[in-house]
Amino acid sequence: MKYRRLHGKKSGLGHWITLWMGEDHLLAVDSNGYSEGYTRYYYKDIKAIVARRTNGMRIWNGVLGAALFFCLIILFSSSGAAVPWTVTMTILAVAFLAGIVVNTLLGPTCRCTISMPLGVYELPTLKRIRSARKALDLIRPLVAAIQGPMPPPDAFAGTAAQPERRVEPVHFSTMAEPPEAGERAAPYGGGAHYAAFSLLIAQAFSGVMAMEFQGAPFKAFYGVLTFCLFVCLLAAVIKQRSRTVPRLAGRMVWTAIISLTCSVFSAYYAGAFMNVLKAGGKERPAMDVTVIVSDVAAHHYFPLFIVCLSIWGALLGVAGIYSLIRDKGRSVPPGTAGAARAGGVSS
Amino acid sequence: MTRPDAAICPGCGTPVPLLPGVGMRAVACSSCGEDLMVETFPALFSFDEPVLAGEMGGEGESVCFYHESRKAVSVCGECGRFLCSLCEIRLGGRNLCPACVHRGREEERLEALVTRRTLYDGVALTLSVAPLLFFFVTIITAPLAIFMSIRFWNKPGSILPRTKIRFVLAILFSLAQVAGWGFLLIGMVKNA
Repeated sequence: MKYRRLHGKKSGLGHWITLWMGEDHLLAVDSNGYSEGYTRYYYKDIKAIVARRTNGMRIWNGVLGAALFFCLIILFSSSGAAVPWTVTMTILAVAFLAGIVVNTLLGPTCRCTISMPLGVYELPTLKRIRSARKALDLIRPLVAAIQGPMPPPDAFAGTAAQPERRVEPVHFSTMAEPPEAGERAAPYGGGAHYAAFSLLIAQAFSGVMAMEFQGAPFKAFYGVLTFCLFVCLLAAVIKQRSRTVPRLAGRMVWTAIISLTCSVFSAYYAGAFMNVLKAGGKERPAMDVTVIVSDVAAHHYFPLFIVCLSIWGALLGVAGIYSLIRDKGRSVPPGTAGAARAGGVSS
Repeated sequence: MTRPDAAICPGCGTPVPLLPGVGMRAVACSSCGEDLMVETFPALFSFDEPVLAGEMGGEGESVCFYHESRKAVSVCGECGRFLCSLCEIRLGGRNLCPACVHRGREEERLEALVTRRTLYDGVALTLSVAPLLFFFVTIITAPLAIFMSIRFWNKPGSILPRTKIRFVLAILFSLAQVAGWGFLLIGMVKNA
């Protein structure tokens, strides 16, 4: 039988669990490298899959954020310390920052269970809501092919002991249900997103032009443009928390915020690192922000950095606007299953 | 079909009544108030139908090998015996009789019934590599790894996609160790 590996892995002490998709069953494999234990969940028996959001992502972000904060405090408070110490702290800070970014990009954590006729079993490999959603997208057609069509809800309408309560989709940023027709959120034209993506493209062009035009007015214009961009990105984030926007556009907004923030920090740390190396451990390196920024701006690789950043920003902007236009063109009515497939998300 | 079934809240274990629907839906647990994402399947809303013993076999009709009074409805895909609806076991896309299922489980021929497998290739590879930390034990472990690789080469391994590369590497590493020991011993004999 052919198996296809589903995303996700649960590692324990000396063993790990993976989930595989077969023709007629899901296979959970508990392996220690020398033996494997198999648990099968046949598609014909699967009654429901339930995902409950957990606080794993927030906890890890909190731990990593505290560690990052601790590193930064040490870094800035010990500017006269030895070079290896500064370099170590810088590397640790970057590592913790990268951990936060990766953890955030992976999305919220969850605990996933599968209901079978003989009981409820945990699917430990589906630790992230995103991976659970991806796995379900793959499993759904196979289960439907074996179990047949879903019975009409009317047959059960009067017998449900408790009506389902729709929760606010804000809690499930990556797998939220499209709004019901009766309780549809106010229509959102995507103004903040259009503005943010347009400013991203404008800022990309301005960044390249800033290499030619060094005058104060242009620098002021560039500064205002950057400020407006961050304001619009923040507005877009706030909007997409409560309104339905295309999933790609939502991701582009987050990617833009993270990449811009990371680029600023990485440029600063690169400048600080260069200063530390320049000092060579013999004299105290210049750690002043203005000195570092001017040093970075004067470096011969800085134009290349700006060009790369501009291209990246322009790509994000174009992709975001494309997704907004594409979704508008499709006119997927909210509240249908097609809306979710088309990429509609209320996050 | 009037009874709605329920999914179990992973947080508090309370049954959460659900209605049929396609795709993932957000519902709230009535007990702990946790927001859950639920995907339901038709099996949740169907009754377990009782297994029927099968019709009584009439004169001139094929009857079950195990129940002479019952009409045969299928043939065992392994041994060819006639089976009634009570005796037929659908497994891996085939109809099997209880005896063949039992034999298949004992002999590990039915992959669908395998619940544990030993990965001899992993054992052999570890046996050929790990003892390098304590070089002197390789004089025992290297031949042992070669023996294991040859002995279990055709033994069913993991039911997941897996190549024989671990066996091959184990044999190569072990042969290199045996060769090393050979050169060492020959050198010692010559020097003596």
